[in-house]
Amino acid sequence: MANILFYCALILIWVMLLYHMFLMQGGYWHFLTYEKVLPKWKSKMVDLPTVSVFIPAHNEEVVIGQTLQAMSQLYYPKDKIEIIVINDNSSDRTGEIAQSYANKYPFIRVLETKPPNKGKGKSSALNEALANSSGEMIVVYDADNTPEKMSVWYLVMGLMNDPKSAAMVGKFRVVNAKETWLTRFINIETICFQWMAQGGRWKWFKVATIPGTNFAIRRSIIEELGGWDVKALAEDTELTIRVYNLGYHIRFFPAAITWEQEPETLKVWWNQRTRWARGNQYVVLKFLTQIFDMKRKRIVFDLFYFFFTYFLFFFGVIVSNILFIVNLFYDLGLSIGNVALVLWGLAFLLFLAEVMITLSIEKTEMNRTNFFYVILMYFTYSQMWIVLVVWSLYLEIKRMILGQEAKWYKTERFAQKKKED
Amino acid sequence: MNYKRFAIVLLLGLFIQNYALPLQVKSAEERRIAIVYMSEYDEPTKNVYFWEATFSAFATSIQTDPVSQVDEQFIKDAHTLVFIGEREGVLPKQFRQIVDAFQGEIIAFGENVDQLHHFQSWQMKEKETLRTLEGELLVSPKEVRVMTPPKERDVVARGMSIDRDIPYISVHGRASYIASTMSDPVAQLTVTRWLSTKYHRHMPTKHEAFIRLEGIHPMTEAETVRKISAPFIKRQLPFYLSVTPVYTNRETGEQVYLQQNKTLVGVLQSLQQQGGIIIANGYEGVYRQLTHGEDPEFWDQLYKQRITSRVPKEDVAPLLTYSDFPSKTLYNEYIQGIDDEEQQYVEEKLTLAIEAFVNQKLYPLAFQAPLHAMSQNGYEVASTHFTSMFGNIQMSDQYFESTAPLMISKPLAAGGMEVYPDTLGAIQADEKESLLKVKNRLLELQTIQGSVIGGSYSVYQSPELLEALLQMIEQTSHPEWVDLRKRQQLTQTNHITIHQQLDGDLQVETDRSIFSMIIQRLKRNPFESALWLMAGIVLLFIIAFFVYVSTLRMRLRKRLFEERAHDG
Repeated sequence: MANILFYCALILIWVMLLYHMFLMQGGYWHFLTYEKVLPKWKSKMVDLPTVSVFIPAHNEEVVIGQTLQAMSQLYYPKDKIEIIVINDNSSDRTGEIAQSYANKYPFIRVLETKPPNKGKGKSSALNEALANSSGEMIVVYDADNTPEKMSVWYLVMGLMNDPKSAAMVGKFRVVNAKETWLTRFINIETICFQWMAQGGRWKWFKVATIPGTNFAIRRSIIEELGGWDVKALAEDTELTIRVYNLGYHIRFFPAAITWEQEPETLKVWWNQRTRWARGNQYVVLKFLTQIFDMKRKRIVFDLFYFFFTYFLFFFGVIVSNILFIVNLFYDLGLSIGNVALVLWGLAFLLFLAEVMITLSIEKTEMNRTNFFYVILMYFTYSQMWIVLVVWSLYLEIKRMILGQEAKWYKTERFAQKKKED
Repeated sequence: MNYKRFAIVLLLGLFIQNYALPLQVKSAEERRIAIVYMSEYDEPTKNVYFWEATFSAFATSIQTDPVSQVDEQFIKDAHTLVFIGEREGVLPKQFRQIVDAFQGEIIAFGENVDQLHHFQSWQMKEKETLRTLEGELLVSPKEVRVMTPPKERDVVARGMSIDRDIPYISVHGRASYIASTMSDPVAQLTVTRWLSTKYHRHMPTKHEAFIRLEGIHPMTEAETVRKISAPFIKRQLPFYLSVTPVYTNRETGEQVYLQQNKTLVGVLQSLQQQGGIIIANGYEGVYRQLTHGEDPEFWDQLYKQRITSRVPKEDVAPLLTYSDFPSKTLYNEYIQGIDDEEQQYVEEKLTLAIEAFVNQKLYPLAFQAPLHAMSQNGYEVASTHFTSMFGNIQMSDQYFESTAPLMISKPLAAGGMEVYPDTLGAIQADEKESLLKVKNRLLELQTIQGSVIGGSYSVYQSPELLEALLQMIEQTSHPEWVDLRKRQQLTQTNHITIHQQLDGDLQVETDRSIFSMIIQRLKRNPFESALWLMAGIVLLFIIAFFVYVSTLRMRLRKRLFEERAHDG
């Protein structure tokens, strides 16, 4: 029995690790090739479409100023862009600060959410803005984002040149990476996620996931889809699947860069990531039942990827860990030989190699400090995720059984000291 | 004149001498024995196989055929014709004519001998139930054919029914008669003793001996094997290590391979250097992984028949017999199919076993069928891989029952392998009187010139008892310990040859490619092999990834250098 469990765990773990290894290879190739289209694409950047930039904001007084400052400097014809701060039931000075920018820049305006969308979370806020805007392209940024000057331009460029893309996804970087040990881990994690999962999946399967921020989507598509799903905690993942099901794809185009804040304390991190994990679990469970009706089989594959990530992989890791600990005190008679130890060592080396590639892509991120953080991350931050996913699963199952309404957790912001390069 | 007469006599003498000398040498060195049997469906029975095995110890060449197939050619060069009458019936006329014309000696067992010219002066009587033979009680009473030789003194060995004296072995002129074909242990002793006396000039005066240490597999403690081998090493005696290279847990189906117990392999390698001779006791030791009862590797004990499929099936049809087929051709086709399947199975297992040993630098010089169970076809296949085997021989394809002749021989039943039989059997240390039993058996064997003293001793038993056993054998029988390292042996697969030379030199040749070794490993343990393969692929990717990292770092340095140069 112990052997069967161990083999199952080993298979589950290594299916994921091999898949990520494969994705990393794709991500690296994507890095080498994604800029090759730029000269051709730039030449077609005439007769630009109108763009509406949505910034959902709920009590964002700490960050909204710097966000709008960055927005004001975006490289895009000002007569073709409107920046809409969606002030969603804020009780702080968010609206006031946003209004001051609106007064200063004619292409910035503040939209106050109204019932039934008021105070219901990000999806409702975005739907409110969708109904009250006219841009042919919709760009979404979180309220803590400071996009680089060219980011919207690149996102629109992608959509203009790739008619099969319903959405264009840019890259985000961590602005407060060096603030705490946690933000250092998150910085490494986000870089790795984007080049491996986003870049790799795009290169191999023409699949990418819409993140919460720094993405553009055609108005025609989002309207056809009926806006954002207000029940979804991970509205971005949910939207991704519906876009693919419509027959389009989503391109990861890392030329468009934004900088965003990441949680500096464990509590904030825990709450934010729990929402993400629960959101993704919700999406998997929602769409798994519809899997055979889906038009695009590649997204079915992606759903399985999420299913593996949030259910099977962590189950495998937990079982493997339990067996390892039990075996220290009681001989379970595991028959697997040295290959298990070799695989354990290889898993660590693979992790190290993959993370180092992605950090090297981001040039100066591959430094001595981060190298030690990567090693530490394997034994700490990665393990924290296991506990978090189990906890999220527990909450999500409890919610489903008790029929509870999903509660949106608003990520706490931190006053930004300086932008990092 | 006298001179001329002397010269003629001398020339004649020289001529006769030159002519006769090769004949004498021939008869002294060669004994060609032809065995003819009469049985149901002309199939050799266990008795036929047993007596063939026994006679083969005295023969330089031996051939066996059913009575229906015997022609003049068959017995043309034979010195001795052995007839084994397993069932009553009329002997074919051609056979009778051939026998009548035969000039050599005839030894007949059992039924129908009254139809032969040589026994015309004998008196055939009613059957009697034999209970004792030479004063020894039979395992079970046996009905025998009573044939009285012309003279009372012709009776060599006698038995008893409840109230009557029965001649069991009788010799008259060139004809000898044994009253039954049975291979009961007492009959084995009696007949073999008579034969060894009859042929005593050609038998060695000393008793060859060996002890086989049995029960070694990858889960055996290395220290256990080392300790139990000590009495042999102390005496500098050759000894035998019967090893199964794969341990199969019959409860869980899990398997442990020899290479996983490095300590044991180390000890076996060391013992191999100190006189230990490896015997391949099968490969996995089991066929079906039955959780209860015996489960020999080369015998389907669940269906009590020989192996009919390479992979054990849950629902196996019982083997059909000749009577189930409308023609002999169809029956032969059916049997050929079974033979082929069994052959492939045995072939694969023995190949894997030899490879498993050689991979660990252990060189088996002989074979042993787990639990001594194997069909005749199986032994045939085994004989293509080994020249020698140890233990008992299963004498029938119908029953899982084995027996051992009392001499080292090359019987038909073992497919031509030289058989080193367990004449002492498995020596049980837990039995209080085990040594006494062994002593009695030694004394019995001593009465048979040239008989072999052979037995197995479990490695899990006490080394002290083994010490006592060796002392007893040495004191009782003055044995000559069998050393296969001083006899020519050949163990082989398609890619491995282990050649033991007479001078003790061991030549091992392998021409296995890495590819074939990988395939073999894959077959043996597909899951673990797949994991190793995966580990290899992952390692290649890791190397590639670190190359990417280096490339990216170099590109960054180059750019920084260029920027610095550009900025002045």
